[in-house]
Amino acid sequence: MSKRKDILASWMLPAGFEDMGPQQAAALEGKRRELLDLFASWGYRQVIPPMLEHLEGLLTGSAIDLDLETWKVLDQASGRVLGFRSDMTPQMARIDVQMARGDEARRLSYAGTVLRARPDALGGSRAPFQVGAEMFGVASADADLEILSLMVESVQRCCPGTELVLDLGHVAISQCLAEACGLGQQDREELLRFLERKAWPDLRQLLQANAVPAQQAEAFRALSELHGDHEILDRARQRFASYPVILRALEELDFVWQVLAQRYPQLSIRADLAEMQGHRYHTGMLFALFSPQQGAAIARGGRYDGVGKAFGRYRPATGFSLDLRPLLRDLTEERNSPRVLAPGGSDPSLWQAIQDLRAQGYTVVQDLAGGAPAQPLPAGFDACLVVEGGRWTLAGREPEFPFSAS
Amino acid sequence: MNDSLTIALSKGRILEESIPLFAAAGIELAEDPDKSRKLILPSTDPQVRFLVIRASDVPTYVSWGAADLGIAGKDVLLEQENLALYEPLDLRIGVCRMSVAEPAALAAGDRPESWERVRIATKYPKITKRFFQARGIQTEIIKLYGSMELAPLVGLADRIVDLVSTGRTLRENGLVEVEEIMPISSRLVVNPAAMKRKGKAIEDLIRKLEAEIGQ
Repeated sequence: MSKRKDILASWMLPAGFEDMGPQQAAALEGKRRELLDLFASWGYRQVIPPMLEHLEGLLTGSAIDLDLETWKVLDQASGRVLGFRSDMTPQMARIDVQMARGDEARRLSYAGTVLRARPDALGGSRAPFQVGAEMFGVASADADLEILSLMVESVQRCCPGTELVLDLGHVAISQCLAEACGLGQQDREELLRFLERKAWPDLRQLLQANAVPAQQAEAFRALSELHGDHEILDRARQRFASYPVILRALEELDFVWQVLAQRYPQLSIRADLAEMQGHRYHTGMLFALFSPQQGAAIARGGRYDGVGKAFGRYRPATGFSLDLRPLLRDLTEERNSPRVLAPGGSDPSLWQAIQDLRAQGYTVVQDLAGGAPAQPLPAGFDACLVVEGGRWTLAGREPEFPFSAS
Repeated sequence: MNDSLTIALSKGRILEESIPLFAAAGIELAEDPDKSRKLILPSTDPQVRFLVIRASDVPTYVSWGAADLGIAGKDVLLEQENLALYEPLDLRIGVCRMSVAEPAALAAGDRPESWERVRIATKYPKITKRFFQARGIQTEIIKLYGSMELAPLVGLADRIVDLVSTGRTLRENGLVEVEEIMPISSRLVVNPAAMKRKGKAIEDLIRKLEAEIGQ
């Protein structure tokens, strides 16, 4: 009894980790390839950074938010602390700087597991499978537009037929208003935290306690109402006409909005000008895609200029990423090759027949248990390989190419 | 796009005090929550339904997206601060305060300015730790799930951190309030994804509730 308990205990995985069975693995792998191929067709070249690296590299610059999320181990070889990546974007920023020679544009993509040191309070995975694309070296909104388009197309492939909502934001708007309050460092951070949670009552109280002029408090009040359809951009232009930084941000939003509306007529687009998620890291436009099935964003991204400065070079940057794991519930294994059951044995003509079929794209499984050919055909197979008139031929549900699994 | 709303509430004071607020916004419970044992209560508005759950579970339901909105005390929200939620409205219900209390005999000669190390029984370890840490006071925290007032009486702790509304329970157990940590009231909390997807319906509700509170 106690031995059985021991065995069970050694089977159990740590909180937040799970195996993926063949079907899930096939579904995930299928999407991973599809997305990487999509990225490649847009000129985004895949890079594969290591699972772990020196902690400073992972947390440098604005990525300090990731500190608590990063799993740390000691490198016995150097005595230095290593961290498992909890997000691949800082690694991309480092790689870009290492490759950069001038101001050239660089498009990178990646797919891999990241680790979260803290278990998610809501029982989510501690090993998200992050897939994303980043563009470095282009400061204009054209880069954001390209990344946004790629994000929409990626999610459309992962969740075909889903009604998607794209939410746009721009951190410069809130930051500009926060700056104008003239608060000290600590209060300013508190203010941004309240903004992040849309905790308007707390924000008003903070402004009052710091005797911030009523005009500024009123600006935040207006900001709290600026979310929704395209017309809010006009309202915001009128309300914040005296802030050139905000006007520039609105112009960028307007530009990507109009083009995306034309490129993706099915997509609902909205903006939330008070949105601040990840504001310690982002420097410009923010974007996230939502679907009715998910309680959180499916994909998100934004501009993060200058993260590479910590690695020695200032580079404009924008990108997006998504976690494939939560989407797996809705993904199905895509079977795109017919399955053939072949008899066991090492007969050279059988071997040749099997290899020929494999080369044509069939999945061929040899029945190594031996015995007579299974009749009827076992589940999961479309045909079996039999000898007919001295030649190996397919018998069964005559699969045709191009094969389409129903 | 689907604009139905699921709202998570907790039984007791929050439910009682929020019923009139929702009624003013044109949403009434279709069943008497005191008589019904259902956990999902329909409302007079076919687009709105209520979940009746434990107070400390409200942020979890809303954060996960199982409910679009909820009403949760600031005490509960501060104790579970890592959850991703918007909290756009102070509903000014469930009003009370989070305080430090101790036996009257101890309070007679006690000076909070001179605290160096305290032993606190509380249901709110995070709020307690943060409050004392900000003052550079070491704390030993004993997490309890209820009847905190008992702890100092039997020597389990010197002091307690708890919600105080009238102060009657404290008085009846010979305790006095020595420090107020913060005022507490209930907040409307919103799932961020719901806010993006059902922005209009949620915004309408917020406006109506806000108008009612403002009066």
